[in-house]
Amino acid sequence: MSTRQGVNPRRPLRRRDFLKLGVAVLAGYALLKVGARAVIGAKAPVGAPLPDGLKHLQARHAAILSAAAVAIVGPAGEAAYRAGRWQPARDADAMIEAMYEDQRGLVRMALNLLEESTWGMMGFSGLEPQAQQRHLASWACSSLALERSVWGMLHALSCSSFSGTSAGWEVMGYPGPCLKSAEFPGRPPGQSATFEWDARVP
Amino acid sequence: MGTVERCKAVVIGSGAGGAPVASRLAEAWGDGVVLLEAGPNLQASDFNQIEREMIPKLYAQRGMQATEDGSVAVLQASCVGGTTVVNDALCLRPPPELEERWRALGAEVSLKALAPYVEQVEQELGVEQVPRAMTNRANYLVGLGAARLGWKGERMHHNAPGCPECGLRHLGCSYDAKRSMNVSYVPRAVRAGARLKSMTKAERLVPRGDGWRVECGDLVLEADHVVVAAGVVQTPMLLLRSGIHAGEGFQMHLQTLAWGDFAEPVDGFNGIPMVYSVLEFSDVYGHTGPGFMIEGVSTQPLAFSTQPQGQGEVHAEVLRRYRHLAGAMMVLRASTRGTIALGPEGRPRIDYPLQPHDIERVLPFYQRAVEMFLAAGASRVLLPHREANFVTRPPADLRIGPGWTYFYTAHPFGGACRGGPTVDGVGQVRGQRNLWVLDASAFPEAPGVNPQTIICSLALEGAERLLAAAA
Ligand SMILES: Cc1cc2nc3c(=O)[nH]c(=O)nc-3n(C[C@H](O)[C@H](O)[C@H](O)COP(=O)(O)OP(=O)(O)OC[C@H]3O[C@@H](n4cnc5c(N)ncnc54)[C@H](O)[C@@H]3O)c2cc1C
Repeated sequence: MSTRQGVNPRRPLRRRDFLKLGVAVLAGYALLKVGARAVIGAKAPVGAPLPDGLKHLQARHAAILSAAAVAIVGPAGEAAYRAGRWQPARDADAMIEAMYEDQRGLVRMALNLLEESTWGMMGFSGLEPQAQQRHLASWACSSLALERSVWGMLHALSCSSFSGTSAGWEVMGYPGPCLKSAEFPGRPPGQSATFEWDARVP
Repeated sequence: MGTVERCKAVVIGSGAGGAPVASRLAEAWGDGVVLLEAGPNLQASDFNQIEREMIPKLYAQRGMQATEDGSVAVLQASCVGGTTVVNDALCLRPPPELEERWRALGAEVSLKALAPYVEQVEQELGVEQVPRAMTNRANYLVGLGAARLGWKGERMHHNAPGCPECGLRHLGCSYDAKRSMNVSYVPRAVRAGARLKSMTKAERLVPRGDGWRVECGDLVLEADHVVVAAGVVQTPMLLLRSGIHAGEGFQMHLQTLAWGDFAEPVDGFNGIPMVYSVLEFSDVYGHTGPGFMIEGVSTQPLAFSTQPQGQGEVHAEVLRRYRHLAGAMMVLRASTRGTIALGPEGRPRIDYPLQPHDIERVLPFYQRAVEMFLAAGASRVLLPHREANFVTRPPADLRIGPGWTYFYTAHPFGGACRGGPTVDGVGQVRGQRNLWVLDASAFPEAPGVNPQTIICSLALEGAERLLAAAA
């Protein structure tokens, strides 16, 4: 049998053969991974159903974004998400509305990138919460500017969305605005100089 | 075919630059003056103090405007009154150093000549030093730390006499106590006859004899004189859309933050958000420091939560400590020069490649802020850095640069700098007749202090020059 096209089992493997083999294995793995992920799909964290009627985020993107948002905001965010008191995908969709088309494309691309960047068959959104934390943390401090900037975008979208809700205010101990409304009792403005003033402070 | 209206002068933008100009021109030309504003005309009753509703209404790009690489948020407002509607109401006088620095760059500025305009502005805006009795605990703690370390500082001046201290200046004043342009120079201009057109964006300027056609969609204004005061990003954008060279020399006060974590609640969300400033490290008002002011600052929950750079448990801890944090802000007179250009779909493209001289001065701010808060009694200090969040001693080293630390600017400058390629020494657009730029985009260099008093005063002086030239 000719050994030209294949690896001759009797000839010791050379460096080039190793490389070829490596590339083939990686390509096969990548195909398998893409196939498996197509079947599994992106997975939203367990909680209220993803909001419908989103204008810019497809269900897949909404799921990835929700998974990232819950991981970034942490335990309080997770509880609010489960209780249906916080819908990061809806807020993000509204923010994306104010972007230009090329920027919207970048957000979707960033979400795809995050989902596809994990090892193993599971995309980012399907990882266990702790693995999601680790993955995001590696992006926050990545040597790649792109990964750091994607983390920055996700952090801004997630945190602003959560801390704009009454669930976020409760965690932060923020009593709400001063103006009274049906929704808010109104807090008294001002608390200044109710403390002792050190004479050294001008 | 849209409507065509004739007028003597069009002022584009109703912020710190445009509103005083419109007011002065209207004193001379009455209803011959049109004041254009791209944003809405909101009243005190519209400011409902809820961040998630007001930020998208008030801020440019719903508050998401940033440099192209996303590393510096660029905060500006778009409504009648411009960014003054959301600003902290601090009114600082032009520092003496400004004259020499700006003249070296080709700007014709004399602080002596400017002084009467500064005085007029302070009078119109009701400027006073924030009284001790109106200083909240968060700002006091900044003052206390600085005083214990022997650093020079002061309570700043503001244009909100009788402020009820609700702490929500960044969302527009619900009490009309802050004398931002929407309650000072804009009404003054309207009383003098100026026609205010809100929700009307100037798309393009087209020369017409010695004057201009200002195209705003269906409306066309034909004017003898045009003053562009659309703010730092939009002034160069309008000029570029009109085929006029602009966008160079974009600068800023680079800003970042640090928060002291105190055992007792500080509740910085209550009371006036910014009162105390540490001048020790600035390079203005006779100081010879590295070039940053430290200013006490408090923010409401939504804006605050985006600033510290942790996730998961760290972010949870940040949120839990919110009531106990007192904030300090770096106002760095940065020297990096970027550009503003027409991007895809005509959007602004802001490039700002942060230079080593600026990057090097950020760590010293973090170090001083940590020392200051520890001296004031904080147990630890929160930094908005990816690798260091709560620290108990000044960091010896930190990676500073895009994507490592939270940067923003509320004070952008340039893009049509006086003495630069677009505008001459006094604000007239080069090679054009009767076209002026009188807002922060005409600043040839970052001034090193909160800029609204300087913008308003230079605008009034510019209006006087325009009237003299027209006569
Ligand atoms: C959160 C925050 C706090 C601040 N605090 C302080 C402070 O305490 N003290 C201080 O001195 N400074 C402060 N500043 C900065 C200060 O308010 C600004 O530097 C100043 O308002 C800029 O004036 P301007 O006239 O250049 O632009 P702006 O005030 O931004 O006004 C420009 C206006 O032009 C309009 N416009 C844009 N394009 C068009 C167009 N094509 N047609 C018609 N209209 C258009 C915009 O909608 C906007 O209303 C703060 C800024 C921010 C964001």
